[in-house]
Amino acid sequence: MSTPRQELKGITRRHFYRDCGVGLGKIALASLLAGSQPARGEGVANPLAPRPPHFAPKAKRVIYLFMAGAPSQLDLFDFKPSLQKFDGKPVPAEVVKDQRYAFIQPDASLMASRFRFAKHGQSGLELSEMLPHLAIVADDIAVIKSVHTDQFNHAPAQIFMNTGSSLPGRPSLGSWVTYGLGSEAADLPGFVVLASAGGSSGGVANWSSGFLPAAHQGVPFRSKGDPILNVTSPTGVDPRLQRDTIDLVRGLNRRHLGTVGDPEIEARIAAYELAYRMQTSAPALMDLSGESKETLELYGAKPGAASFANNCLLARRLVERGVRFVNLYHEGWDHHSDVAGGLKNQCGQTDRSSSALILDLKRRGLLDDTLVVWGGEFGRTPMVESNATLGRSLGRDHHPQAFTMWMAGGGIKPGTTLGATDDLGFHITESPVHVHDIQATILHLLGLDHTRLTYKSQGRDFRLTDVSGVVIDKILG
Amino acid sequence: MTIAGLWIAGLLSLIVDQPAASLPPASLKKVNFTTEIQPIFAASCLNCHGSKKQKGGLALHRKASAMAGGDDGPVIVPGKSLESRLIRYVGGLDDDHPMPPEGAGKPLTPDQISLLRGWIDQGADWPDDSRSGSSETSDHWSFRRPVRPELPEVPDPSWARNPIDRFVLARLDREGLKPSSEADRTTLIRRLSLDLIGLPPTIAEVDAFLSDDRPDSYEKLVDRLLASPHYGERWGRRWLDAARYADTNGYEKDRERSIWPYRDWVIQAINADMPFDRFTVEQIAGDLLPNPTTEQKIATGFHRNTMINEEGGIDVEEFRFASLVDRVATTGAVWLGLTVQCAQCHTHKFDPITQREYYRFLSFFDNVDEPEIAIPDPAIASRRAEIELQIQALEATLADRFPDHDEGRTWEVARPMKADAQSPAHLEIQPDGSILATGSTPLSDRYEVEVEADLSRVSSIRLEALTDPSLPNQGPGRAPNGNFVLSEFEVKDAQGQPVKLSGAEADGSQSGFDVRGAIDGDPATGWAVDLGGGRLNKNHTASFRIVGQPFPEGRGRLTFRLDQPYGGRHTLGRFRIALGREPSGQSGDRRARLEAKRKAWESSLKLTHWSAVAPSTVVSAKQATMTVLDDRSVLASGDKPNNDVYKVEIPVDRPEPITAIRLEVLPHESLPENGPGRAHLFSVGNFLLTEVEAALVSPDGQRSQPSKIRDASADFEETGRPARQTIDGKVDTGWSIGGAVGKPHAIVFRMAEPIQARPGSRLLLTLHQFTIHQTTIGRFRVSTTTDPDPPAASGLPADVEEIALIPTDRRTSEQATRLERDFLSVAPEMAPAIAEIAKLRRSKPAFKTSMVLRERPKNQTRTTRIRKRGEFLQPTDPVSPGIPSVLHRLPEGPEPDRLKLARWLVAPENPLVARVVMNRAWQAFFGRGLVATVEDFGVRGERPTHPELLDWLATEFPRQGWSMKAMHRLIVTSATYRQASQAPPALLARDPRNELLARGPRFRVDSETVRDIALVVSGLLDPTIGGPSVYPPQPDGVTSLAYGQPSWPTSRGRDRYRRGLYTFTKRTAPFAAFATFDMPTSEVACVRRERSNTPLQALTLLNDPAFIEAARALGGRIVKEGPVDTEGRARFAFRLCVGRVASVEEVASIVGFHDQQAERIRLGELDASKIIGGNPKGELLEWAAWSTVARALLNLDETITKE
Repeated sequence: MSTPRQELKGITRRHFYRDCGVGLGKIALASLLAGSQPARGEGVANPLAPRPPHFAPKAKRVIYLFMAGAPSQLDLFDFKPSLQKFDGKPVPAEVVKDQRYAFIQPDASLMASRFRFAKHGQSGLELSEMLPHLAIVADDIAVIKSVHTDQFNHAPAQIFMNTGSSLPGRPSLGSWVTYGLGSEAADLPGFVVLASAGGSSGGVANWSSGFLPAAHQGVPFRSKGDPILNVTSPTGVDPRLQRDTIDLVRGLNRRHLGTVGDPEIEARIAAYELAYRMQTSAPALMDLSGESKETLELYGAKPGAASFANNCLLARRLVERGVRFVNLYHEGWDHHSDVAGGLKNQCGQTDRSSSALILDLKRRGLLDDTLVVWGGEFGRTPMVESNATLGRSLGRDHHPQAFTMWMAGGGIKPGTTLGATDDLGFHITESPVHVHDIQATILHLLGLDHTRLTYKSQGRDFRLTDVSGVVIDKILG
Repeated sequence: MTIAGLWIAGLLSLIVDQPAASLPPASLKKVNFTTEIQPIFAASCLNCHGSKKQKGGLALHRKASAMAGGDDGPVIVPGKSLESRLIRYVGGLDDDHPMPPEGAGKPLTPDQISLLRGWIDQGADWPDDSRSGSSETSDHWSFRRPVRPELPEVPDPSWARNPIDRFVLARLDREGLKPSSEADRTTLIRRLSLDLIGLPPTIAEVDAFLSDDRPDSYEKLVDRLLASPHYGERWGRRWLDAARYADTNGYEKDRERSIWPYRDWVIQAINADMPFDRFTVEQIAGDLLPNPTTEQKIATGFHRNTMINEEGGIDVEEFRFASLVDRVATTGAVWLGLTVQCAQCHTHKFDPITQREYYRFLSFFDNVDEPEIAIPDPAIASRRAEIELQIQALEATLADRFPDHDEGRTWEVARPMKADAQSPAHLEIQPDGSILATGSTPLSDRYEVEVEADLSRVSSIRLEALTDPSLPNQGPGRAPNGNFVLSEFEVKDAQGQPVKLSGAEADGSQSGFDVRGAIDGDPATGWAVDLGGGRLNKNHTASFRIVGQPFPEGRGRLTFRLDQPYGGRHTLGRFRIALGREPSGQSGDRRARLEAKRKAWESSLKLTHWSAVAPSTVVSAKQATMTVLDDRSVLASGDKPNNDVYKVEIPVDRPEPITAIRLEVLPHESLPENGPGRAHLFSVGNFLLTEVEAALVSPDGQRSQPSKIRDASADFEETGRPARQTIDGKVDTGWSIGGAVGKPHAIVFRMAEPIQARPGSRLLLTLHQFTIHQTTIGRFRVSTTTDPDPPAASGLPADVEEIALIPTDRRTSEQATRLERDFLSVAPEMAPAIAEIAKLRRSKPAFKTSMVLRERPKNQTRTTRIRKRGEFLQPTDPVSPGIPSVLHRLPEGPEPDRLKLARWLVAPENPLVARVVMNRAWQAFFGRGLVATVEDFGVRGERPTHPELLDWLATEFPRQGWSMKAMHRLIVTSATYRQASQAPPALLARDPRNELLARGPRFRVDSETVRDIALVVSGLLDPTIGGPSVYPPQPDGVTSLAYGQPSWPTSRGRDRYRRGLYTFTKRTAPFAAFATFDMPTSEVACVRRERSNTPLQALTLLNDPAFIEAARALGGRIVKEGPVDTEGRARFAFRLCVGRVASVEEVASIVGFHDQQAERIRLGELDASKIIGGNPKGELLEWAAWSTVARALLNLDETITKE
């Protein structure tokens, strides 16, 4: 082809940036992947190419452990001796006022935690006996006991936590991050989603790219079957046939490019090369057989299993390979009945591996610039939920007014506890942290100013934090 | 918060009573608005509160808007300057927010404030100026009506085929560019086919076009495609994007919905070229047209495509509000090209739309109910009628099937007349003849039960120990674990003589507590039922044989004694006694037997006279629509809240005191499963009545304390949800009828004290339904009785109870028949026949349904209110329906409604609609609108690249009778459209996005078309149009990430190969291949699809099961239908996929690839049967080799691109 490559390259780059600048076309000119050089489509601009942050970042990547269903902060983190004292007594009316609840009556009785709490580490972090492994890393994490949200139903609250809006259709945190920073992964998507213990209420809206280009969508990795949909060649197609096929397609596409001159064809050629490489890299990522026995035991991971433990280990492997944002969903914290039994089960599945992730990242020197976030979509009531008709007893209802999250790693001041709630754990009394503040802080740690990370759609500039959000300075290292 | 926002917030906090010492006095002389007030506004206010900007939603340049006030209400209170926010602010009474704000102008002088005060105190007279009847104006281009432009002069008019080209050419001339030459005919037919019907042409179609040398062959081709039934599918899919069509409800549960008839309506309307104005009116307000047809109702499904949140515990109203907001946004984007939704939270920052106007617009949609309608279908109707006839025939002959002789021993419950406990425990006789022990729980007890019954041929006695939710662990005993010990069971006849028993049997006896111990005369032995393995807390049965001859014919009395001295509260909690009768041994007169049995049944009934009362008022706390029907029952429709409280007032018109109240819950065809409940999730058709209160309201409105209810009983109770839970004071327990929905039921409340009311009083019945899954009552009727000793629930339907009260000899024959039919429906002898009828009834096919809009009745309209900051929990001022004043006026007349709005949208005065719709059509053909921001024609949107062309199209559209086909024809027959799409480097550099249109469009086709192309070229496509959505194959595990991990029931047979638009659209787990190719997620309206190009798309085309299936089929087709030589097959395969003839080099690459794969197959390196997925006969090797070629060709950029 006589066209100088440089010319095409220049056009496509301009083309791409102009599109993003005005939110138009979103003709994603290249691949989902970043880093390495496409075999022959070297001229194509890449929406996931690494981009400089707004300012020097503390963290380069994020692992977000999303505890879908909303764990009880009162049984895990926020110990309330008063609840022990008033166990079974009705909650005072002036505490509840006109709050709305999903299931319970506002005059329900208070319920004490069934678990013992103890202080751990230098920091003296108080944790329930349900979290023995987290206690080991008590001095590595920052606990926020004063998070609050606007939503009190699962799907809207999960979508709110992930996208800053309660209605589906907005870009998620991970999408904003790869939109802002691109990715350093060579042969893997920049934003990966792993799920254990069932589908989440928010569904795909939790990792949607919304109005951002589709290249920023979270890509679910599955523990059974193909890790990425269709990443395995069909039956009967061996690697050589796959390579030959892609070569034939490339040859015919290149010839056609010579005739019509459309840079989209160049982009497609590059996409096929990267798809081919992904066919090798994705299964290699999922293959835990190379991990030492000690590491597998640390996490409680079992090769081939579909578990939160495996996903934690995979998260480490993903960030090692340059993936920018890893989102783990673990469903099953919605304990409307038997909160004690439910927590035993859930903590049994997640406590060891959450803690192992911190330890493993730390010993590999990755914790310094990897941010780990743990939390659900809201908290649970100090009042008991019981309902004969629904067959519920000794549970806790949804509670948006106050709940607990923790963060660790890149830029977080370890061993910190922020915020407090009243004696009953109902209202926040100190340092309230809104969901938009959490989001602003995560972006801040990555070197992004949440007020400047915007995208124009439907005639206005959108951002993850809508019109609010304050960086939580007190937990920054 | 903006300055304006702060100002408004300040206004709100203003305290009106505060002395206004610092304010200049009101002018006492007569103030002239035009000469004295208007200039003040102009100098100091209009900059922020005028025609261009309306900060805080306030505009002071027009009377109407100034008097209406801002987002938070009026600022001028005529006659009361001190109460007018305007004065408080300009007077600087609020130190924080002076007006004008700092930097926005000088404060008003005391003289000016004095004038303003005087003007307001004198009544704020504002003369209707001459322009007050005209619309608001704006300088922005899109708010001015398009004027039909002159065709521009061009140096070389011969290139132009129609007016479109003149505009395009004129622009190219100005830019110094020349149009491209016309594309070759093969490209043109493929381009036209993909654009107009969304399917690629067959080789035969290409050949026919190439050999058609008539001068109008191109136009003939266009006409053929426009007439194709696939045209409606292609353009319907685009419209469905805008309609946010999906087959599920969205949010967490994301259940399936039935609205595909709306999808089919769209396809048919577009195929019929329904004029766009009618197309609009039917979708926005088809239900309000005079005598609307079913199709017109189905069309209103457009705005039913909003999501529905069914998560437990939500506030249904919150998500109804969310759907309203979506309806406004969608209407704005689709018809007006405006981001109206920006004004939900505050007055639009850029476009002249105030928050007040936003809510006025929203209120058009606020007064709808959201039902589903059954779609008439003659085939289904006749099948239903057929079955109904069979049922009627069976019912008519039921009496003939009554057995003429007894078959073995029959059991009949012995209804107790009396039941006493020796202890203080209380034995309650239940409607089902069982006896429930309540009150104190003694350590031991002795019960005595008396029955009077037909003892003819009674030879055995059965004792059932029954569970009940009121008992420990549900019983059946009253011991803490639910056990009991029956030490002795004794029976005496009317003369007090013991009836000797033997042959004790039980369905289970606890070890050491055999049932035989209950009749052995030894109080140390007895029957207990702790059988282990979870079998304790179940119903248990024991039976005993009477020693000697059975009783002779006739009625008699028996007394039973149940001794329970064991201790530890091991007494029976609930039990029932039945008598076992021997057959008479001879067949008798069928009719006489039936009569006898019916009479026996009748005499066992406890009945009274009830009078049904029509409520004077009935209110749903959650705004359900409550309608009193002719039969005095009340039907709930419309909003379906999670929980509700019905307040029902019935007039008391009789002097006798009311002793009991009956609440019938009744079926209705509008209810799920016919009701009587409204639940449509989980326990469909059920309800849960949690608490009931009855109180008197005196004629002067005084409400008494609730009257105490003695007991509650019902004809049917779901296990664990007995009637008495409606009066237990617990909000989380209640009565429901799971297992017996679809039938009438009744609950009877007997009052502790008769309710004595003064004439003119009303009885207020409060029905609490505290639930989470919309289990509210759908239809009910209230009756009262003054019977001094009212019976508990009779178990008879109300109309039958009325008949049963009529003496036998005074019943009409209809009444007698009705009573007999009811008896037959409960007679144990008829159980098999009744079951047969029920089965038949269930086999009736259901009509298909679709979701529609329906205007609420006038007396149930909602008041729309502005929501502060857009939050649904913060309603403020009420507003009436209206449109933004910057746009053309609504037609004159009272009470604007949705129909008026619909007609307003497509009124000739609308400056936007034709431009917006033509712009979207342009985008569909050229990949980009003349206005690139197709959803935003406001001041922040892009300017049109060809404004005159857009206006010409916008004026031509109504001239063509709003015919979409005519406009599509015009566009595709233009020379502009027919250009070749090649992009020489210089042109690409000059105009990378082809805004100037110096070349034809070239872009990748939409997601559904990517798959449709593969189906067509492989020969798999099933072209059937319409019907329920289908489930073509996709990779495993796509739906497992959605809530509840639903399965994907992959279609078998031809449904696998239906066009993409029929694929089931699940909002929370979109069809994987389509999502990858940028299909919108249908949560909000989409008027512009993205077009990305990613490795996941490559993986889909290479490896997705659907595309592999297509590649295999295409391989087979090449071998079967193509020539025999390899080169010929290569050419054939290539043409199938891209339409054109392959070049020599292209053929050579394909042949080379083929030969290599064929060789590897021959060598056994590749397994042919695996490649083609099976063990078919024939040319296995060739088929497999060509399948590998086919797979590659389906991956070509050209295959999935409109060239």
